[in-house]
Amino acid sequence: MAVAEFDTPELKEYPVIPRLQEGVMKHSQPYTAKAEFQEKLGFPGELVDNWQQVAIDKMGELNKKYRSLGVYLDSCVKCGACTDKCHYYLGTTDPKNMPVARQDLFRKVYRRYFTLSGKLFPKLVGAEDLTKEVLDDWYSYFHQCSQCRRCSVYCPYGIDTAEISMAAREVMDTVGVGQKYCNEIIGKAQTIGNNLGLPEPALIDTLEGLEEDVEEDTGVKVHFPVDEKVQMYY
Amino acid sequence: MSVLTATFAFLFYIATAVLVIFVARKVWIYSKTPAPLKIPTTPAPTTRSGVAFRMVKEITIFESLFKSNKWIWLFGWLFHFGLFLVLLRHLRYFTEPVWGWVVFLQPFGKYAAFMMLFGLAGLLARRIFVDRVRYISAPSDHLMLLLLIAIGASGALMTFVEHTDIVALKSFLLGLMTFSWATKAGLTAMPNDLILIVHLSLVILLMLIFPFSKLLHAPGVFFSPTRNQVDNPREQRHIAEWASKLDSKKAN
Repeated sequence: MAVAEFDTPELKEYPVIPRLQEGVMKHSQPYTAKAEFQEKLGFPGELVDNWQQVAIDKMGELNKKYRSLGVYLDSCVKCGACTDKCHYYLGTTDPKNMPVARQDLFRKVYRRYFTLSGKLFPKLVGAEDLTKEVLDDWYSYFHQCSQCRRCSVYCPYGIDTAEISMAAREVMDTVGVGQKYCNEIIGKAQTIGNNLGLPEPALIDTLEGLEEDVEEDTGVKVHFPVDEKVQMYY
Repeated sequence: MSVLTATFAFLFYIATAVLVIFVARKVWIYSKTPAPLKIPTTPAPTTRSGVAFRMVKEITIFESLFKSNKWIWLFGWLFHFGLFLVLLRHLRYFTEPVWGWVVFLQPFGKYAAFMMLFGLAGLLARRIFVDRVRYISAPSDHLMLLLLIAIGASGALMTFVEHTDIVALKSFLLGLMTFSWATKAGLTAMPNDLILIVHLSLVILLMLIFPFSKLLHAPGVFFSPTRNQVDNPREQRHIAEWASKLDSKKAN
């Protein structure tokens, strides 16, 4: 059996901040959601033709709905306080897993289309056009954030990367590149009634088996109701 | 009025207007944009006054930054506190008579220039030598530090090495504030000193780029939902107007 090779950092008395290794996690992406699940949630099934414009419009809309987004995109001074605080960075050493660099994937596009300095002097302020490469980076790295918000504890302005990665994911959903384990599960919960997508007869059968197991093990007869009126919720 | 005096008078009015109008516009936008999620970073205060105390700690001693990284905290705090003292000292050039506490602060404000420059040099060194910080730095991040260093160094030069005609400069500045160019007395000429011209040009540049750069962290920190929210989501329903419309749609 092929065993994956892991380069596990050695645990020492004091943590050592690893050096950067660019691009080592670029390949890592979740599966994309199938068109049928995307469409059930009101998102396009695949990348739309004018995706850049749709994405930029969506960014503008989110910026009007969430104060956190504008404040956080404007306020970062690149001090570096968060750079060694993300477990995804410490574990992978990919610089784009540093919270500030992860935010910058979004921030550089925001600067290019929404700020005067980025419109006039993109190179100077690190602003970039929204290209397919940038979108691919978004898909990789915004799904390598567990939104734990550890970085926001340490940021002198409380910048919360979760707010930014949530926005980026919403923009990606809107242009048609959703993530399987979010969108398919939400779709299943909505249409089938549970997150695993178990059909009702299969679920009832499983629970009946479980009732028998419980009675065998404990001697207590228990009933697990499905779509029945009950006295009390568990 | 000489060309120099007229040019700087004009630039100061423009720079002040840009700074005030565009920062006010940003503050307006921040305050009008809803914060639909309750996201104070825990442990978070559960009262309004607790939030005020937290915010005061953030902006005076940079509490979060202290928890995060002692070097950045040291350099950043020395720079900001030095700059604060220096700015207070500069009030003497805009007030007549000079307020007593500004007179008292004079020696502290003078030597705070070194504190400020030391902090800036440390921050610049980190940008160059720490690989993580180098990776996240855009050219503008380096230039911002160089701009502040140049402003601080040219100012310190005038304080400690090569004085300018400070009496004439103050008269020029007071004249700008009272629009004396429109009166019979006219505007005092600005001293024609190279270091002063460099110092003031860079300050004007800083005022002009303030509202369009990362210097927006100054007003931004007050609007950060992770820092300015009360941790009371159970006691009080927190919902933005646009989100409550989604709520009522579901109910119908």
